[in-house]
Amino acid sequence: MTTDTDKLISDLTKDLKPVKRLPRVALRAGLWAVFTLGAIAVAICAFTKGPREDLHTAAHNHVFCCETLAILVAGVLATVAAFRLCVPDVKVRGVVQAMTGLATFIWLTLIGAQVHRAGLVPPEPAGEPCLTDLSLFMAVPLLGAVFMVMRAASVFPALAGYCAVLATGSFGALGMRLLCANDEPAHLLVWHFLPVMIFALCGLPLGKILLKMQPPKKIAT
Amino acid sequence: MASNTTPVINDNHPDPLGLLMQKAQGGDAVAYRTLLNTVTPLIKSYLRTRLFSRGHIDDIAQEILLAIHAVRHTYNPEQPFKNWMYGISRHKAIDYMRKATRQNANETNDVEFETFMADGANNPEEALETKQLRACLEKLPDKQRKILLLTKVEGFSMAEAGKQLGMTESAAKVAAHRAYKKLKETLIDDGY
Repeated sequence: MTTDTDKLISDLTKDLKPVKRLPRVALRAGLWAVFTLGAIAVAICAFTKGPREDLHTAAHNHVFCCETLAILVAGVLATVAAFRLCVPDVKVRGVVQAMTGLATFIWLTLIGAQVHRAGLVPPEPAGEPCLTDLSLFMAVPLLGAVFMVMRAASVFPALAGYCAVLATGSFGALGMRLLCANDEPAHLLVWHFLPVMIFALCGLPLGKILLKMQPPKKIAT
Repeated sequence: MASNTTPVINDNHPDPLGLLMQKAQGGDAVAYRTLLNTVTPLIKSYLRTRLFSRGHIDDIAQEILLAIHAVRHTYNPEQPFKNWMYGISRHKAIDYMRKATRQNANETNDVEFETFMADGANNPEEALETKQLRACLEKLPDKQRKILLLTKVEGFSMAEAGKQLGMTESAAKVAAHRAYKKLKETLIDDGY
């Protein structure tokens, strides 16, 4: 071992403080998901007109149910992947990549299905409020996710950023399905589903910048 | 508290390194020192299998130790310690090589570097006095100081200086870059 390494080890072990161990991935992911769904539910009830009036009828529509369930599954997969990516583990890559791939596949399928159903019909231009609501639903949970991921150590920061935004977007889109009564494929495609994928792609550079593992400033040379 | 107590590794434990890390998480400096001393050769051996040159290995190993220290709270005792450690090692090694590649691509030819230590330096009026500069150089780590002196004072090329110090040209460039950075920080700290 070189002198430099010996000195570094001495520096690192000098005045060693106990650290608070990070809770398990499942617990952290579960807490965040519950917080996110709770925050979206509160936002729907407190800051909007409330859930869509035809929710009971929509719940009997198999297309609506399948889409909602798919969005929920994609959200859960992306959440677990995002939090799993934050704990270094040389063997985690395959599993997490499969989860991320599946969540992305679900979203691409949803988008493809809307494209197929919508055909060449353009969406009505008054869909901006949906985009605003989706962004608002995502804002607080995303801050929470970034904070929780930063507390850990992401060895794949870009992918973790993508998963975190995809998870937030999935839960946001879930909230939108319960809020917006417009089930027109073109509307769903342009104002609900595509923005989630675009936001998720923005998560790649965001993750690379924000979630990068940093050395301790005190000892860094 | 740092100490030189003989390393204590419990070989009966299914994951002795994990046990040491658990103790380190609780603030046990002796266990932590033992752990770091034990894992350093493992990390270097891991880097060697990734075909890193000798000059790079020490630097990357130190960065990995720093990363282990910074994120030690993320270790979960239910997880094999080596998976956790190699996860960090892999990430830092890739990160380091990316940086080195970017840096090599941006570097200019050696002859274009300023000869700031030589007589009649590029801008004598603004040049630092040799004595003060030498004092700052003394604060640099041995390897970094040597690489600066060989390339800037004695006029060797990076390849020649690297050869003298048992490093590849790329490793010498990385060391020189770190030396410039460190020297700049030292000069700023000293009020220049």
